[in-house]
Amino acid sequence: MKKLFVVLLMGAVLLGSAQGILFAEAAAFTEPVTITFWHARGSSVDAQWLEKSINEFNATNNLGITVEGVYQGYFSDVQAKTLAAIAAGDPPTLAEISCTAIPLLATQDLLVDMTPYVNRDGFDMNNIVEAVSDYIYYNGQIVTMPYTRGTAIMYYNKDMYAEVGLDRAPTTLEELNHYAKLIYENSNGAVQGIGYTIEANYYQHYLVQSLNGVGILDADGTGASCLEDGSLLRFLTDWYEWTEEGWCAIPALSSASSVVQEDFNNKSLAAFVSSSNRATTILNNAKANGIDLGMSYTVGYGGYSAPIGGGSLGIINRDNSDLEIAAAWEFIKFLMTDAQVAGNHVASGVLPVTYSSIETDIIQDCWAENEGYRISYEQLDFASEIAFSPHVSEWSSIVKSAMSQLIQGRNITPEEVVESLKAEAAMVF
Amino acid sequence: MVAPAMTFLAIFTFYPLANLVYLSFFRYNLISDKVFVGLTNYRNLLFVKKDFLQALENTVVYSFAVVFFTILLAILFALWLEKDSWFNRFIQKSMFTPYLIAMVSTAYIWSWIFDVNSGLLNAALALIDVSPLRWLNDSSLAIWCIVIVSVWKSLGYYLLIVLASLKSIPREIIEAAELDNTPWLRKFVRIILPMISPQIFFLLITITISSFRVFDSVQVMTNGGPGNATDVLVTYVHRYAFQMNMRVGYASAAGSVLLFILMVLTIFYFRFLGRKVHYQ
Amino acid sequence: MYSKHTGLDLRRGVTSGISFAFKLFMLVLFLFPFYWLIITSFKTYGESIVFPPTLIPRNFTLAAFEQVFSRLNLWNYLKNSIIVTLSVIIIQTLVGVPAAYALARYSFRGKGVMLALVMAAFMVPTQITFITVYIMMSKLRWLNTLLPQIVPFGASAYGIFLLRQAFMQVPADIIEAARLDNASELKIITRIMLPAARSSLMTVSLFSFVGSWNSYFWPLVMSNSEKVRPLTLAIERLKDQDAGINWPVIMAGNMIMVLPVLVIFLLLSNKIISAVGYRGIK
Repeated sequence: MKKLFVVLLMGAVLLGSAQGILFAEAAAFTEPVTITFWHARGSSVDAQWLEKSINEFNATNNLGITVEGVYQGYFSDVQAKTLAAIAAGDPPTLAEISCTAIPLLATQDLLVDMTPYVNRDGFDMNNIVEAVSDYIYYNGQIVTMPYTRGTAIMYYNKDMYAEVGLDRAPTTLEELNHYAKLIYENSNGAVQGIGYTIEANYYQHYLVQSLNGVGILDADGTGASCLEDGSLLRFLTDWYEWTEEGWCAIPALSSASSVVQEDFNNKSLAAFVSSSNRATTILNNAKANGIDLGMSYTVGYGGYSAPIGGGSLGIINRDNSDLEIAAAWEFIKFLMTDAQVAGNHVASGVLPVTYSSIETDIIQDCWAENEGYRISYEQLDFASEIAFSPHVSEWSSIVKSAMSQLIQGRNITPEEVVESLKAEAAMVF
Repeated sequence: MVAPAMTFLAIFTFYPLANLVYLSFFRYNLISDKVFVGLTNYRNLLFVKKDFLQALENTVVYSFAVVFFTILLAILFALWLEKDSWFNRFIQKSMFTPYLIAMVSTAYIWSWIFDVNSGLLNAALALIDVSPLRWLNDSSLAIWCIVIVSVWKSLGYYLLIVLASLKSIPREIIEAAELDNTPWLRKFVRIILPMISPQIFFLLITITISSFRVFDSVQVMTNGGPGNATDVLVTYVHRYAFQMNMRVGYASAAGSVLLFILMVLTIFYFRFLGRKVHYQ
Repeated sequence: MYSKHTGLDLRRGVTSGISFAFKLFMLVLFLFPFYWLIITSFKTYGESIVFPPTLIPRNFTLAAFEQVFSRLNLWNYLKNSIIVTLSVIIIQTLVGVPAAYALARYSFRGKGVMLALVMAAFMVPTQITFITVYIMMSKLRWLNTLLPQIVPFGASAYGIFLLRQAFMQVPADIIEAARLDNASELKIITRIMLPAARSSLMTVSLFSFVGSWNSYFWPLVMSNSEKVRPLTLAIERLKDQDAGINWPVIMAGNMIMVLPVLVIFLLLSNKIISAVGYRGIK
């Protein structure tokens, strides 16, 4: 009898704790709570949208939650500051973390598993666009929610390409290069056909990916077979040659992305690849400078190829109270509502990350008015993310530096770059 | 009376330094537990990875260039602007102003001057029919561009010091030399240079040390690039500690090497100061 | 004789002509960037990116300044910069003067070591100490205050060194005379030492001012919220990472930051020039 009682009791305890794991207790917001949210949205349209979202949430949530957004610089700055703050024991509750940094934080168990909240509130994970799910889950946990995700878009000057005989967007890299070269030659070198900035795990990832299927990092995240199978060498040799011939712009050392856009607005550059997250700004600037802007799928060797990147929202599990964590979840849930996801997309061009948001009038009207915005979403069929691995951050930074030496520094051969990367790879992996 | 000052220095300079050296023997990313690795970080730094030696070489090249050109130009300008006139004073003031301006602001202006497509320098080259250079983008030129900016920014300050030391030379000595009809160059080498040599040596040391600590100008203008053509010791430490997966242990080893170099320079400095006091 | 004289005059004239031309060139070299900063801030965005650039704004506009004020809560940043800069100067003086005085005028055990430590501290770049200091500041929960930008700079090794050099120049018999008059140490410092070391003190304050006002790296790391950030970081924020750089706005922001420094310099330039030079030879 006594035994049975113990077993029953244990069963009840187990059930209770299991419930705790799978279903978060309905958080009791008995007292007002303020949470800090570190993000990478500077001063342009996307920052204004975020500010609006935060203000709206603060004014309308009746749980007494106040979100305090703090801009911390680029994604790399947010990553560095967040890690340092975690180490020092005073982290923000919520952070906008780039895909490069998510594995770093997740593998060290620094992110809150949102599964209990998702289950408690019946949050529909199937509503989240399939293509971005790689960086949401880790070890069966829900560690982030997509927010500033994006794909790369090919932005081009329609008139310039039409002038040399291409009156639609290119469908392969070979086609793009052919016309880019024509533009350069026809203008006697005054206008360059295409330009890439160096983001090894983003723009160069998709170009290499179209050759070897995985990009600069293997699918299992623990090696770089592109060094051995010749794909990286081939791409680097090509890229070097394009820049040597002059029709492919060499990126600037500082503010490269701004410089590319400045050249595009100046009409000294006919096309460039940049994130969909910048669509609104680029569109406005093109309009102001009288440029008929084309937006299209990015192209790799032999066909379409695109990267998925950007940043997501993660709740830091160190030194944050349950109340703060629960409050952060409420804010994330708010940002994931259709109106917010759609508004976020329309404001800046970031990827709409839920299926239901795409059905909203906000997005449908926007897409009807400007075809360009749907590109980021539609090209997901051809897009890929770099493998989820704790090595992403370090490896991309090493590859980026090597590419910079080749393309900007130009005092090294592609073969030497690959050789030196092999030595680095041996240390990283 | 010294206690408050020493307390500040102990807490905010020496304790962090000791910690730096301590951490250099660990594999540590601030969050996971420290793992003692002995001299592994130093081995990787000096014998396995090539980028540290590159950063060290860049720093040495940069420092020598800055020291050489700053001192040379400061002396030349000082001799040239020595005469006390309204115009000369105005020039001195103008040359001093860059010293007061934040590197962030300076970098904007110079990045534009060096710009490949629309920069001032290439526009000037176009006027005299020289094909444009790639300045900051050129891995062999980039470090020299940083040298130019650094010299430009601090020349005015060092100029004032050299000017003041020139003025401290007793008039009779110079007048005597002028009566002798001594050729200008010999007058300079035989009389003026020895008279101002203690100040020049002081400048030599301080400029060398401040050059080894260069950070802002590189960080804002090239971020160490292209490749690592302008990577210097401090940007190297900062990059590994803050960007490359927070490899704090490894970065600390690099910082310790920098510290060692600075210490050698400091001791050199002390020896010199000791000698100078002795001569007085 | 006569002709030789005019020949000499002529040659002198030519040399001084060349000299004058070269001086003008130097002025352009050192002042043009400021000129550029000023005129660009009054241009429209479109005009700021034309090539070749215009030397005088075609359409003089204040739009860039309006944008700076509308995008940034400028007073907040300005206030932070002023508080930090003034506090650093005051604390450094309060801490540095007694230390320099003791190191210059007393002999006590460990003085040599202390001098060596002061000199050594002067060599250390903040970029190799910031991680430890950051963690310290964070543990103290100071990162949402201005303290991390002030307190670590409480003692300036360079300042102590310069002041000590200046105090050592004061003749010993003046101090002895004062001591015989039963003057307190405080009186000796304020009545004798500080007036004598006026120009060094000015140089030290100028360096503290320039160093704090312009500092970028340290506050970037040591501030976790907008309300404690200084002007330098705010100006950097004007750089829109997603769009082409709006040069007029950036330059307008920089002008707001540079202006106070330039005004102070213009007001005090004669004193500053002689103070900096003076301390250099001592």
